[in-house]
Amino acid sequence: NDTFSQTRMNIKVEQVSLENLLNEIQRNSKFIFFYRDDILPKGEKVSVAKEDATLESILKPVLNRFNLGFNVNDRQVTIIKLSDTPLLKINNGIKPQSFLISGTIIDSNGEPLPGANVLEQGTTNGTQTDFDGNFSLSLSSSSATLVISYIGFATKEVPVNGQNSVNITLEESAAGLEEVVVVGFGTQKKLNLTGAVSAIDSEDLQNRPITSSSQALQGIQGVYINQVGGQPGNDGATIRIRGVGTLNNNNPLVLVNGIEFPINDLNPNDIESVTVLKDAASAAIYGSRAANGVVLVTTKKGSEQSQISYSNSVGLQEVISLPRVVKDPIRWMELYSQAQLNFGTSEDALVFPQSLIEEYRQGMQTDPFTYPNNDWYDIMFDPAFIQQHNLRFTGGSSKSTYALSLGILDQNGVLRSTDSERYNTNFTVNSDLNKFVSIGGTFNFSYKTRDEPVVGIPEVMEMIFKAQSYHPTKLEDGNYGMNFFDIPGHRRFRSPLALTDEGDTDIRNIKLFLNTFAEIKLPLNIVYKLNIGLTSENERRKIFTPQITLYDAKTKEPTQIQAGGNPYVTFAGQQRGVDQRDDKSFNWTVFNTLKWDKSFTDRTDLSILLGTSYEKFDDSFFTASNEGYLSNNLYELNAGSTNPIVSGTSTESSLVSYFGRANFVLNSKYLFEANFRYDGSSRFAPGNKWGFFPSMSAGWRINEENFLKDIDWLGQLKVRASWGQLGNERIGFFRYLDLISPGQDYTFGNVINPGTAVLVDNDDGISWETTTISNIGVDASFFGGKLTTSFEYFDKTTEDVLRPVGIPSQVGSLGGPIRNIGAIENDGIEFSLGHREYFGNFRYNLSGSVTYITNKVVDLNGEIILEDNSTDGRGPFNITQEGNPINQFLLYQADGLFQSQEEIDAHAFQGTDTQPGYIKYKDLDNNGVIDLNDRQAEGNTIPKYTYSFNLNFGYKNFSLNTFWQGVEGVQTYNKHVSGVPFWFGTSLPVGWANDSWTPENRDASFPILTRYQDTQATLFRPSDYWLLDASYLRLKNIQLAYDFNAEVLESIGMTKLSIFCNAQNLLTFTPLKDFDPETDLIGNNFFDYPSTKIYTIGLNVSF
Amino acid sequence: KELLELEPADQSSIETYWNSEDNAAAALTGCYEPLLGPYYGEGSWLLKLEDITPNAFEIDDGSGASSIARGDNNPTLPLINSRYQIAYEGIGRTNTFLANIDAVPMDENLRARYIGEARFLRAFYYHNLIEYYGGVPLILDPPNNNTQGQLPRNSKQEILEVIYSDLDAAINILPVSYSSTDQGRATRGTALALKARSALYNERWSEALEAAQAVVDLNEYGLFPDYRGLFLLENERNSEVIFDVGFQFPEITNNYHELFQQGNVFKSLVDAYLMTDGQSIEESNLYNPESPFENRDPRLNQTLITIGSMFNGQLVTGDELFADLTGYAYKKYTYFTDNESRTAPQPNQSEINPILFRYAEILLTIAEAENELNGPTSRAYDAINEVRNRPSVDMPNVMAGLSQAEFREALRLERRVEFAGEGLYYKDIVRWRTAEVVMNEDGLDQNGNVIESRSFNPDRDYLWPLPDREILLNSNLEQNPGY
Repeated sequence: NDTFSQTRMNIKVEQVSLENLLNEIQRNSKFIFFYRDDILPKGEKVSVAKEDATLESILKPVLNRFNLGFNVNDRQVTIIKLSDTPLLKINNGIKPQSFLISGTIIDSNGEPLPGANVLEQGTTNGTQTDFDGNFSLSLSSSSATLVISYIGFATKEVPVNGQNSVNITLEESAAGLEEVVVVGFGTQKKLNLTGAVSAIDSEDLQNRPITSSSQALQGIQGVYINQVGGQPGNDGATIRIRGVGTLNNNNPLVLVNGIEFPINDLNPNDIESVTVLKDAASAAIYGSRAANGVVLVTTKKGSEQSQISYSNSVGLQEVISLPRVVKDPIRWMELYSQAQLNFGTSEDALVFPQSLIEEYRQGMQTDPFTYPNNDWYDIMFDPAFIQQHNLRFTGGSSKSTYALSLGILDQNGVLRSTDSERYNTNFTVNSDLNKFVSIGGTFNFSYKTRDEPVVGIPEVMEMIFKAQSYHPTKLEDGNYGMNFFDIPGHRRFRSPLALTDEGDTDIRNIKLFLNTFAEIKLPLNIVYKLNIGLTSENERRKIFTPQITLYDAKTKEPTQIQAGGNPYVTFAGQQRGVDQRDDKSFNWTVFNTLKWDKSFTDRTDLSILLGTSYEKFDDSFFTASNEGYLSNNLYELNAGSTNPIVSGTSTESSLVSYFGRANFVLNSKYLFEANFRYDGSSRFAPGNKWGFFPSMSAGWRINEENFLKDIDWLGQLKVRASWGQLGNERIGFFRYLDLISPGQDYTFGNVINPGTAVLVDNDDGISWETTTISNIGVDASFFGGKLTTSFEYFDKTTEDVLRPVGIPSQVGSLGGPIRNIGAIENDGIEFSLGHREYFGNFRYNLSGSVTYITNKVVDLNGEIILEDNSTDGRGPFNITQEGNPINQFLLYQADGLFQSQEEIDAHAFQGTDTQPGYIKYKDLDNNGVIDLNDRQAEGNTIPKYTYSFNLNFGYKNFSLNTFWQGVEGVQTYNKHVSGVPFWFGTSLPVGWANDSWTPENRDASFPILTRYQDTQATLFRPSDYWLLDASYLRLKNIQLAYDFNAEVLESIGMTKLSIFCNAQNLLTFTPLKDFDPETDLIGNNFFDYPSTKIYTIGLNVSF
Repeated sequence: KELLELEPADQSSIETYWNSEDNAAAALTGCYEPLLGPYYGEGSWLLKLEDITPNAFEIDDGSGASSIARGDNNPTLPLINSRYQIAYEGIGRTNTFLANIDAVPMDENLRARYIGEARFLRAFYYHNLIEYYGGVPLILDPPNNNTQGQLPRNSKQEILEVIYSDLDAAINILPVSYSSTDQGRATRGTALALKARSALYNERWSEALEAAQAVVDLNEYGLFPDYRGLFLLENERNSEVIFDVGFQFPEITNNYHELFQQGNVFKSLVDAYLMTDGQSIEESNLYNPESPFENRDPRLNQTLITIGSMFNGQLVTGDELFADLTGYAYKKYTYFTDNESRTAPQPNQSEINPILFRYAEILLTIAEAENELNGPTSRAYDAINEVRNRPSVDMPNVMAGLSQAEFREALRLERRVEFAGEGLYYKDIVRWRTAEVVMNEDGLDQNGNVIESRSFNPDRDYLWPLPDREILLNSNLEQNPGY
């Protein structure tokens, strides 16, 4: 928190004592100085003349001369003798006693405040309170005035008036009275904000083992972060701000130091603060890309103080949330037979006749290679090591500062053959060239490697779920094994062990980010700023498809299994070979701003900003593949010899904008702001390219009014309202042109002939999607800031929603056009509450927020939108229709289970093989047949409630911080392996084994046990019987830290040392038993990389 | 601002596309491309259509063929969707092609031929629709959602007329054959063969007869002597093949080699093959239940893998992967021969061409149409016997003196056996209205155990439902009865 150290002031003194210089600074700023009288050199005179200078730039050169240094803590500055210990008991000084006063400093609850500063006004004479809040101090006279200050409390002046003993109550300052928040193209005092803005700074993130920067947004009010799985190098979270507002891209605009940049490529340790602009008033200055909110990330800057900091964490990750399935092979086979018999299959046609089961039972005793009993979770998942190291140097002079940081993240995956490494450096420099010009820049470099199995994560997960205990790993001779018997539907065991250990996907990503600015002060207090940003990314993805042969456990007959099929493989086949893809992207951004600030009185200010920007994005890729490799050990393109294939293309897009903002603060009470942005995008046809996005907001700081000024329990009270419009342009390129696409090839003779076709029905009339957000907010703090609360109501309506529209196949089976269709409304409230308190050495800080959102499609021109996210085309469909939330499930309505044949006969006809123990569906249209008209939209894939809270406790130097996150009112659907019984000869979830319907167990939670493949059209037609509640509450992070005392550290040359231990995802409360609830909710299959618990320990040290 | 005017660099704008012969050729190639879809992946229609006949079954219901066979046909099945979508994809492309080809500056003869090819393809795609779903929306203009998206169904009859007019145009224009670089394009014979098939399916016997006879009269085709060899890679595009789908390693491949070996053939098909004396296994005294594959129509061993037979130089014992749940699988369309050991292609890398029309079908069309029109004349006998007398088959002639009904039975059996595994039998049992009998019988394995219980509802199942998605997106589409 370097808000104060960045304070700038004008100081001009000539030939004064050091003491007078400090007094002068104290008068010109909010700093308070503490020092032992005897360390200031007597009789030495100094001269200083500086304008708009930081404390550091003023003090450092002066103090250096006298071998003095200083420490800044918030507004308190302690002058120390270099190579001396700081002064804690100042009253040991040798100042002659004239008047002794003692007293106690307490807070508004009557709790003592240890370590509060007590100073005789106008002097440098002072002390600190002890652990019980007591102090005593010799004063120069009985008419002196005491100045009492304490971090987080309003500084108080108390005239002594001859008393020998005083009890002083400090009021907590309204939280962050001077706190400054980063907003679009600038900063603003939090007090004067009129829009809905949330922020988090680096202190909140300290020591957490964050592996991707998007995880850092967790806990920001109104922001929903969904981190699917813990794959090393691929664990960035989805960010949703205030729900899902559109049917296309819902990602917020992320800007790092003002330039668009992927947040996950930033080292979390380099982040100084993150601001989220949630309403249109705050975000409108980003116009066409701001509809989903804007995330502003600011990186850490340098400082004049030379410092080296190092932090690290090392730990273990552990897999969580694996489905519970039947693992014993004999039990599995017996239940498989039971399932077949239940369906009506004759004894003769059983896949596992009793003789085979018996053979297996015997075989397990003597020949574990042919008759294995494997636990595939144990084989495929192992606790994995993770470590992070960060090193940071800062330094500089009064004119220039720099910061250099280096970071390493080394993470192995809990799943075999997955790992990632990341190396970051960040160099920031800021320099004042002269009185008028300052320049600066940030250079960020990241290099990331990631390895994963050749077939990709979802396929490996699927194969792990499919692998059963009877599937061999390796046979006695070291070859990969194949089960000796045949199972319909899973004839060819694709060993996950072979698929992870052979072949590889190797991804290497280099990202360069250069952001430079020049700021020029012009006459009339106008500041011109030029900002140029360049981002260059290069990613190489090399996939080596191996040749994998499995050998029959009995006959040793070889079978080759498919090891390719990775969606990134461009060639149709899956021969052993290499497929390499190089992606390049290059973006550049130029923006210019002019800013004019005018203060009319010290309480009335006007600020105007105008600017233009131009952004250009160039992307290209090149792929090549080669086959004909002689072994699994050579994997460069050159090592192959047959079927070389190449392909590649490039795309570009651009955006031109004009924007502006005016802020007016009247009398510190009435706040007004207006923004506009005028954006032109290359993504739309001429005539539709430009969009105008205005916003307005106002605030009223009621507590500044006279009638409230005297209510002492009221800290801050502000109401604010805003209205504005934002755009969304993020659709594919050239969706306004009818295009003829290549690649529709066919063979004539024996030669491939190039073919072309129109694939998509494009609409040339498309233009911006517009989101209008109205926001009303109240911020309040009470009891000296011990209780803070805020409340927001928002209405976010998106019109002309850009959306790919499904069209009937009769229109040439074309992909649907993207169109501006309909409107979607998100209404919501956000509520947050914070409370902190101290009892002696014990302190706590509780805060939390909840967001409630209703999502409704207001208008779709009467159309419906269907999406089939199932793997086999049988649904459930996700349906979006007027009057309902986005992406509901289209489901039959289950009405319990059939208990008897009579009940089936009396019920509407459901299919030829319905029998007792099957699900009974409601005949909604009462036509006597369960048909497609009996489906109904149901379920929410967008959480209604998202909430998070921090419970932080401290005792002396210990602190225990916890962060919790949860969602409520959200459903998901699982229709795949590990969700259904014997998915094509594979897994059986334990629920089915233990609690499925039998004539004896009529209240079972599951229907009668059958094979999915037999009953997929009856039991497993999409119904709400299988709709799963995906609510959860998760302890995302718990951290115990110990901070060593500064006095101890000083003696060994350190300024800070803390050690900590930490656990991520330690506890989860959810009704979703077998899968992780923090998932992709419309995926239907849970094949994501599993979530992990991470335990780490580490330290954080500064010199 | 010019800063915002960008052009795509890897696709052509439709306004500027139709300006060269090369572009026209590529667009026509794009009209053929949808043919690959149904014959590419696990859902290959050749097999899936067999799986809804007494010949075979689908083991995992992946495409929904098993659901259809069990009597649970419904509008959400992948097979129901894919046939509909692929056909309209082809229709949309040919419509776009036909609407623009006239404006392209190019050789007039070539233009005429291109138009003929496109009209054949459009007819073929419509044929694939109406024979399964009945009438569908008839669309002959380039795709346009605003004007076409909500069109209702036309009658099957209306579409048939369009098919015949497209085919007649194609027959007039198309060449009888091509030079080697153009092989695989539609020929006059192809268009005639489709016309014969379509007419046969719709009991327009004289048109069928006429078209089939016209194919014979081209003198371009003849039966390939080796029945098994007809389907081997080395004999692709032999004299019997009228039209096939062009696969070519490595870019365009299928998985037939694997898929057919894994086909699950029922006992019913095996038992349908006659004995070498021309009698059925029930009637003939050559039949020995202990060695059931002896003295059988040679096509049995040339079509199916059975236990005790040779395959890829090995004796099939039953433990092998391909002798599956029922004990029988297909040999047809694999790379392997009986006695020689060959290397298998990689998974999904077969390049064998599925044959869509072959000369034997023409002959059996003549036999069937002639019998229906004029009874079992010598013309009918000659046609069916020519198929049975193929050198590698060499079955005795159909018994002389059969009644029309008896000949019909013999012809139907001949079609089932000759085309086993080729996806024609399903439409046969539907048009013959025998599905309600044969599809209400259970599917058995080699030991007579029930593998799949089947059911067929004659009031509903003779037509497929329109896909769920289409009904939801176009409320003017009326669903077929019973769905």
